[in-house]
Amino acid sequence: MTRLRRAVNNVDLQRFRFWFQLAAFALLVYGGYLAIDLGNSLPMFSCGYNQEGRAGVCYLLPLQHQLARPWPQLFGWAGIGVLTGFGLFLLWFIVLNKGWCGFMCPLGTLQDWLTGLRKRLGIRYSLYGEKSFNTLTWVKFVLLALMLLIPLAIGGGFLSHDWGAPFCQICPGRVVLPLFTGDPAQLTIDYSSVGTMVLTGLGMFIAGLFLAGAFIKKRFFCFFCPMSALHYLIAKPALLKLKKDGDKCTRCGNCFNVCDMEIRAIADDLERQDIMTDDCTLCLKCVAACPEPGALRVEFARINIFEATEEGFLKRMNKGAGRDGCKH
Amino acid sequence: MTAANTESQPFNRSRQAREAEVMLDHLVDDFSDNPAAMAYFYDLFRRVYIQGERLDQPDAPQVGMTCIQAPEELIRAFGATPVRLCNGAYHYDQVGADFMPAKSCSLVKATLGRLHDQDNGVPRVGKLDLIVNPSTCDQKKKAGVMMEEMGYPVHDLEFPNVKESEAARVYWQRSVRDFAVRLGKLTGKRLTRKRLNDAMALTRRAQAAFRAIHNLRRKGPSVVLGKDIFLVTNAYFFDDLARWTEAAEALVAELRAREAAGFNAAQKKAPRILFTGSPPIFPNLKLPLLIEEAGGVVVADETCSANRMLYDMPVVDEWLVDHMVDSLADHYLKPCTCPIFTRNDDRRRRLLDLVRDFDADGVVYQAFSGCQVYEMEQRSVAKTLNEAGIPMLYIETDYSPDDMGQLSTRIEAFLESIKTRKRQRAGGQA
Amino acid sequence: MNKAIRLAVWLAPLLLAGAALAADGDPAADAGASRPVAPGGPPPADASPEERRAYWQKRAAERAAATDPAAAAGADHVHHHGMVMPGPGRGGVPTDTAGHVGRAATSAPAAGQAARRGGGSRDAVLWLTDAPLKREGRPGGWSGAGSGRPGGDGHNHGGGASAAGPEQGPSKRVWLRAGGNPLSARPVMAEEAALLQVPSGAVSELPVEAHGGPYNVSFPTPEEGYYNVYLLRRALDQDALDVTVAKTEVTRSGMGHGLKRAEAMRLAAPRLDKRVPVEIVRERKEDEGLYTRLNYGDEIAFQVLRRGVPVQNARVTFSSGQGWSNTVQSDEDGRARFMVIRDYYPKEWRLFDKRHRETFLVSASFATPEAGAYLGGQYAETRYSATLSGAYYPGVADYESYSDGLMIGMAGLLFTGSGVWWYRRRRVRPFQEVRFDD
Repeated sequence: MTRLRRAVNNVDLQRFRFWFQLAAFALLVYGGYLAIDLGNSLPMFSCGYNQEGRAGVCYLLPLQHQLARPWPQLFGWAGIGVLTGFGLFLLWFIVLNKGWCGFMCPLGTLQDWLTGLRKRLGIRYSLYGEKSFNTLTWVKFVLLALMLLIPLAIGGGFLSHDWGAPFCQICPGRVVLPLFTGDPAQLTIDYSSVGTMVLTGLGMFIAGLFLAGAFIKKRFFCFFCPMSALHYLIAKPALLKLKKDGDKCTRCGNCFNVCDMEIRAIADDLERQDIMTDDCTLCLKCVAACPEPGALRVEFARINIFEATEEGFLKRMNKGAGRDGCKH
Repeated sequence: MTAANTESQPFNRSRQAREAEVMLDHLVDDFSDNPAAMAYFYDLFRRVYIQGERLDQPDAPQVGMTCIQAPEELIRAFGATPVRLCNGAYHYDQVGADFMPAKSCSLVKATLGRLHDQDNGVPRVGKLDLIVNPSTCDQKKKAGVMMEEMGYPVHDLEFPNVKESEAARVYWQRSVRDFAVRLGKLTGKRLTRKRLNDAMALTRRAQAAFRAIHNLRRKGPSVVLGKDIFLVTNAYFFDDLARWTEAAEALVAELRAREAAGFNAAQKKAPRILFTGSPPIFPNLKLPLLIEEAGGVVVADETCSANRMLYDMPVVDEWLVDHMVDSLADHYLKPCTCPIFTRNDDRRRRLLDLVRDFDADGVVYQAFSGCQVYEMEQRSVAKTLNEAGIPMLYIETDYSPDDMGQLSTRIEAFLESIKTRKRQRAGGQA
Repeated sequence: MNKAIRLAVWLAPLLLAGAALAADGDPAADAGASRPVAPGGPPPADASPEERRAYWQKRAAERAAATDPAAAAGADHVHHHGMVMPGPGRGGVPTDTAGHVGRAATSAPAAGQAARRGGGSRDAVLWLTDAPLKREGRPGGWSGAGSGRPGGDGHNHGGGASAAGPEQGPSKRVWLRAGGNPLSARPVMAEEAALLQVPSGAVSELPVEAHGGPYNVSFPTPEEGYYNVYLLRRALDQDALDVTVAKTEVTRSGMGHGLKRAEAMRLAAPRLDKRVPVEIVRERKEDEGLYTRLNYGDEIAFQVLRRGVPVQNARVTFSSGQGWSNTVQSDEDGRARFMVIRDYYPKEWRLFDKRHRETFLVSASFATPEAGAYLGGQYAETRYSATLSGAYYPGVADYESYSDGLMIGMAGLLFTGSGVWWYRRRRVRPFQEVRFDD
């Protein structure tokens, strides 16, 4: 194994992720001040409501706006706009697959910071348990469906424009992320109509729920995220992939233990090679936690870039325990 | 306890000691070129098993464990010393026969026999403040009450028989937490993050050392014989952990040097054997000894006295006590390939993986007579190995030395057949 | 199940693409989307200009008959000259066979004097606005559907929405009204060409074809920015020259693509044209971008300029959409400040429309001792009057509540936090048994 590869496999993933996420957060939440604009098709929550600082817009916002066009336009020439927007979104997405969630999403980063705060305070986390997990995992697909259907209903005239961008109205990103650039305008309840009242009320409630939930459960919101559902549906052509070699797996369950999203399949499924599920955020903690060489690995365009090794596992465990340089 | 052992003989003249001496002499003297680092271990066994050196630590409570499924890190974290009670002496097997039916597991009989001799049982650990008895196999389960009748306080550690379900996982985590509470009451200490962290670090270091040894045996030529490694892992049962780890690391360094020099501890073309089944515990290293005296080399094992005890490593995500305890619990349940579970998919996969990984030529499957679970699994394991084209030798035996002659014949025949197959294959390819 | 969802996701874009290719696009339907079309619809697309004129004249007569029975008497006039006869008491310009603007001028002094006297009818005030004619007959503001979109600065959409289909391009239509009270101002006829200043600064004339209906001009709005429309009228009234300039500034219809903040602020800057004899300029709010709206409670400054030079002591009147007005004198910088009042009080909360548009009207008048000759007549002084109209909407503070939002957010936080805490406490108690009841 080459020295570079060895160094990569031994990386302190937690520290690497922390700095990477911090940089991505700074870029996406404050990049607008430096006139950075990455477009309107970003595959993670670079919130469009953060008008001063955003470096690009989360794709869901323009998607919902586009889908709310009147049907003759939407199924006519305006459909081209939807397709090009989606195409651009797809191109962005393919590069990192769901790694956008685990490494770049500002809302995800925020949740990881809340988790860090909780750890520092010594408060233990909560888990869903298998039954709740299996039930709640469908919520994200339901939200995705609603997010697409409600704008279509607006376009068809069944609902008024007050129901526009329905997911954005209830998304905690809209409420929380603009606060980072000093914009509290999203903290209001809009009484101008029933629709806006319901949506903004829900939005604020969910924001409160989000803060408490993310504090107590790792990556709380990601479990319900419709962007995550959308990602999973188009994940096939992605370049970054999480792969498992079932033969090398001892089913020790370490990967499941550290998984923020409580995905059992990563430990129990020995058949599938492409082990990324709909809940996965590709945070790669599982790969870092696996002591069996080669059982889990990360591939970019079929090239192995990071895999589980004994040495890496021991280094990370010892670092985590506060001891460096374990002797072999 | 029979009268024979309470005669006014020096300890090393007792039957138990004699048995250990015979085995140890075979293990050391029948082979040339033992690694220098093994001297520590030979000496250790000599002192403990033959001279009856006392191992007890009067300032710390001692908690006996009858199975590797009890979390030893927890015991250490409370400041107690874990003592593994599984015993390999035929002498104690005979003593324990009073307590158990005729055809039952020799290991449990020996354990009971040893426990019966509270003061002088070897290894001489002295007073046991608690025995934790995981409810794994039937024999151990029922032996718990007998231990209580001998006067030991016993904690029944509730271990699930199904490992796939969520309910089992949660049940086991609760068991471990209850055990932690019991330990807290026993030692009067609180489980703090630092103590648990230190305990896990100690064990992790030991596990890392074992992994290093394990990895060095992967390829031919073999740098070390299996009998030595069984001794090393058996020493883990009773030796001071820090000392053991250092000795193991010294062994690793020596083996690395041997590897670099291309040293071969076994014969050329020695058949590489994977040993699986009921655990060989000193002095009952009968089968590994026979295999290696017959010219084979045990390159890997799937037994709870060696590989299973030290191979898997627990992971911790957040260094908070609640999570660390649950992580430990998961580590003791999920990768376990003990046959006491309902299904043995994981064990069969592990066997296949080890055979492939270590380039093994054959598998020797030892089952103690009376060990219902290992005997029952023989069928499915044989089928799996057969389908994979791996020869397997199934041996049902117990602690008595009477069948050594017959076994040695069978083993030699098995090894011969392996050699023949290899020659044919090589010849066919040439 | 997952496979079905994936299939649907991949098929949907294909269906959209197919629909896009197959659809003809319906210009009539598209064009009609934002322009209010009266019942009966537009004339047939292949009608000749004369037929179109006749069609519109017929409709105007019907409308007049419907809204004002008295005007039906003048139906013949309407038929000939396409002018809506205002009813008695509303003041207005009487018509004759010539329908000539000059006649309008004779009564203008009366109106002008009335204005100078500081009271009385303001009927002669001409102003331009992009607020379309109301058909329902209800006075007052305009509901939000057609004109302008909500949202703050730079709220970008993927692709600009346009009222018309792609083959026509975005355009805007501006109407001429008479009457100083926006509530009761009526559309009027005129024949002057309008001046259009596009965002880049170029000025062009917009010829208006006399079609017998209310005066309106339509122009394409391809660029982002403000389009200024001016209507100049000079009339000789005894020994004074009346110079009337009606101005309106409109933005392109629909939202634009990706305007950066700085760019939007640049484009929003007020413009004036020195060739125009008199004009009112609305000073922009702080940080105003291209789509910033005026809200109730905003204090807006207007500057009166004559050929680019500020005019002091001009009489400036601000009229709100419901007819409230305030008159001040401009200061030495030509500025007059007004507060935009709220005059939108729907009967019930349910009827509140946050996009409700009202149109305000600012008119300025002053006289200068310029003398000269015009169209064969001499004049000793010049009276200038300028108008500017604009739109104002409910502000965010009228319907959004921070305190309620924070309360609900806090409620969510507390609810979840206490839920978790209570759940954990419950779990620490002895293990709960499952029991069956018969």
